[in-house]
Amino acid sequence: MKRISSVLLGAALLLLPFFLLGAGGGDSLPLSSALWMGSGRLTSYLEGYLNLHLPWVDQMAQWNLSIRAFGGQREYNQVFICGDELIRDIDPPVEYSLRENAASILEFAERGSIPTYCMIVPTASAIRQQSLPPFTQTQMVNQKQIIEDVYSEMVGRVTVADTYPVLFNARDQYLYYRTEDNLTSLGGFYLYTVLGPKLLEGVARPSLADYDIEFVKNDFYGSLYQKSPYKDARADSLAIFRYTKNPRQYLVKKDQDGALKTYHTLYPLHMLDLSREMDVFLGGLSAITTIEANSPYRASLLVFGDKTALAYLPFLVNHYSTVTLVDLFQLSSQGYDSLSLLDYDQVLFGYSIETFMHYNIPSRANRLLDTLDD
Amino acid sequence: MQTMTSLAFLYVILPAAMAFFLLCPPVWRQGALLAVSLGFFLMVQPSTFPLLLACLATDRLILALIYRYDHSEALRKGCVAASVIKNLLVMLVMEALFQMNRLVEAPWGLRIYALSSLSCVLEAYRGQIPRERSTLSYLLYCSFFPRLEAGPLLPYRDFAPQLEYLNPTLTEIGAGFGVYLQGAVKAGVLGQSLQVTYDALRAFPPEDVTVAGTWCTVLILALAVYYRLSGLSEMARGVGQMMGISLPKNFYFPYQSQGVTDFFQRFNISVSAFIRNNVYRPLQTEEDSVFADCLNLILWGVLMGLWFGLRINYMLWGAYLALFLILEKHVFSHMEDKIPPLFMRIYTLCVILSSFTIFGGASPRASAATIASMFSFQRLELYNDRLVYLLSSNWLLLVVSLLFATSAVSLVMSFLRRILPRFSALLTTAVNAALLVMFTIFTIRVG
Repeated sequence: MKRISSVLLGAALLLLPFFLLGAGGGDSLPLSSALWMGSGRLTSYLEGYLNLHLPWVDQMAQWNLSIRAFGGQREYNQVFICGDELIRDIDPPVEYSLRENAASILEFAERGSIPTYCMIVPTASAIRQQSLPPFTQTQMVNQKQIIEDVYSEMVGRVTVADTYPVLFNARDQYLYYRTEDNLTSLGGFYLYTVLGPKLLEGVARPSLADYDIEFVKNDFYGSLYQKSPYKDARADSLAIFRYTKNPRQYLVKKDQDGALKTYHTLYPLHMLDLSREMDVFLGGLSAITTIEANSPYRASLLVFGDKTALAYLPFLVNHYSTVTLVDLFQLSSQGYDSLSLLDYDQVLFGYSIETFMHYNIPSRANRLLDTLDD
Repeated sequence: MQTMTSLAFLYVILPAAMAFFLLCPPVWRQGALLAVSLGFFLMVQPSTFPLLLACLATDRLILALIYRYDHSEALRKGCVAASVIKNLLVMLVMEALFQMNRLVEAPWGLRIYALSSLSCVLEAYRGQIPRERSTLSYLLYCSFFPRLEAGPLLPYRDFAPQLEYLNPTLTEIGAGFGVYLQGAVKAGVLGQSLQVTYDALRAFPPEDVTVAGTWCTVLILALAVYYRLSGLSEMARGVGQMMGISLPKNFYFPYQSQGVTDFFQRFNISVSAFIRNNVYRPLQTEEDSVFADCLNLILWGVLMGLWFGLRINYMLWGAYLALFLILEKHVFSHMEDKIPPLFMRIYTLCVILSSFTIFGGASPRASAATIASMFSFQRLELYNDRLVYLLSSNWLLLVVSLLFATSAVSLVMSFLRRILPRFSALLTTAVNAALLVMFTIFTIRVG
């Protein structure tokens, strides 16, 4: 019996590569210069190849997480596994970035002489903290405190929109995607309820009744699921909110992959067919996105923001003739040249707290102050 | 650098190497194995391939000189001294260059091939190996690829005779593959996961350091080192067995040793034996005083520490353990039989665990701070949420690691083999298949 089991195992070893080939693993066997042993790249090349082509690789990734979860692990790749939802863990703040971003927005407001607004959006790990695994709360970044500290520095010089209380009070609603690191459209609506009255004087209290809600996809698994494919994570629904009270025509223009793209809708649904589900909202984030609406309002708004803007801008655009969303992370030198602050009536810095704490991106906006001097 | 604990090794390189090896007629297999070993080296780290060749060529030349000048003791001694100095210097310089960031990665396998070629020279000098051994077997001994990652070291006289008839049966290949898989899971799954847990504990901010957390850090480091090294050694043993070469065991449940002397015979056994045979014993004389023996033992310990790298803390770790070797040999030797085994085990565990505060520290001062934290009940909290979260997140890993660090499972399997041989063989096959799946699942990159 021992002999038979050893023979089986020995044969298994020799047959493993044939099994891989037979299971479709040989479809794109690497036949490049990496095959040259002396290049030193062969092992890493093979490793990468096997990670993509091993049979049942997705299943095995799920088993990996299931075993880890059984063994008590509730966090993988900086993603918390919280029942059927995934919540991204965020790193402690980088003090320098935090100070630099706050100071530069203040400088922008002072030198720019344009009404300037700031909104720092908390992440799901703060708002949905009751879902986090036990014993994690004390080690989480105190986002509320950080936001309050930044706002207290700005008070009187920049108009701030404190969204934390509103989101926290509605925390049991579907504000954040379960498998994607962003706010849902409903979350975006709640941001709009805070932001609207700050930006727009005399605006009527926003109501969900003014919108038609359409669920365009109900089996969406986002980037958090790619990082941590836990089998019990529940798929997300992508909802789009159409303003029905006073319907508008929209023109969305964006520089995407070096080409100018235009959409006559806020929600280019064809992105669903391209497996770019999150780009259904304004076509996704690009260096400059300009949204024009045939609204009765003449004001224009410049938004420096990150992907959170995709959640709340569809609501805000109804109150402006033009809204320009600038992703300073992607903005090139030519992009800076194409923008002029003189074209705008208001400027909003709207960032996720994660961007605000870790990257000196908002501070890049100050390069545009030169356009005022010109 | 993941070499033997990679999917590429398990699913492509190892089967390809085995197929190539088995397709060659038995008389060519020594050459085939050398080609595979050198090819593997080239694949892993081509940049230091010339260093490997230069190192081995120099010692082969020294070997030839030792044989040629066998009438002149002075010349023979000079040759040995040259080999010792050359190999130590190469290891020292390369390690220093790596630590000074002059090298992108540490030279792969340097310690093994340098010490193997040195061992060959020393054995030739002592007349422990016959003259007619071929260059082919010498090169294969020094560069045999499964050993290069973490050993085990073994004398040339034990290795070379096995090369004469390399014709493993399918049964041996299967058994060797089983040993390889056990090692792969130990090093690639348990060792790796423990290392991640250890890094997470070390990353606690100062305000979150607790007494229990410090103890756990030390315990987890001890387990991580054991699983990583013993796993790699077992993988080497398994691959060796698959090719008809028997390599010695390098670890034998070191954390249940009864005394530090026993620990040295269970932890990194082949390195300990190498130092004992090539440093401790040659320096020992009949008329040695206790003081001279103590210095010799300390040297043994320091060299054991240096095996892990050129760092003060590693040397201090070895010296610290050597102090207990001295106590056991010169102070308590007459009491050995009177002390209950349980007490000996507890004493050894305390010594070994405390030694890992030195092993894991970035500097002697950092180690002193760690030791202080372990007993700072007034200054520090006993535990906190962060620690509870980390431990509860890894409870299964810790339980499994602690269990398999003891001989309990091994004893149960031996018992089963004795009373239910057929069932035990079936169970072994099932376990090995599960290990294959487990290793693959945990080695796949997720996310």
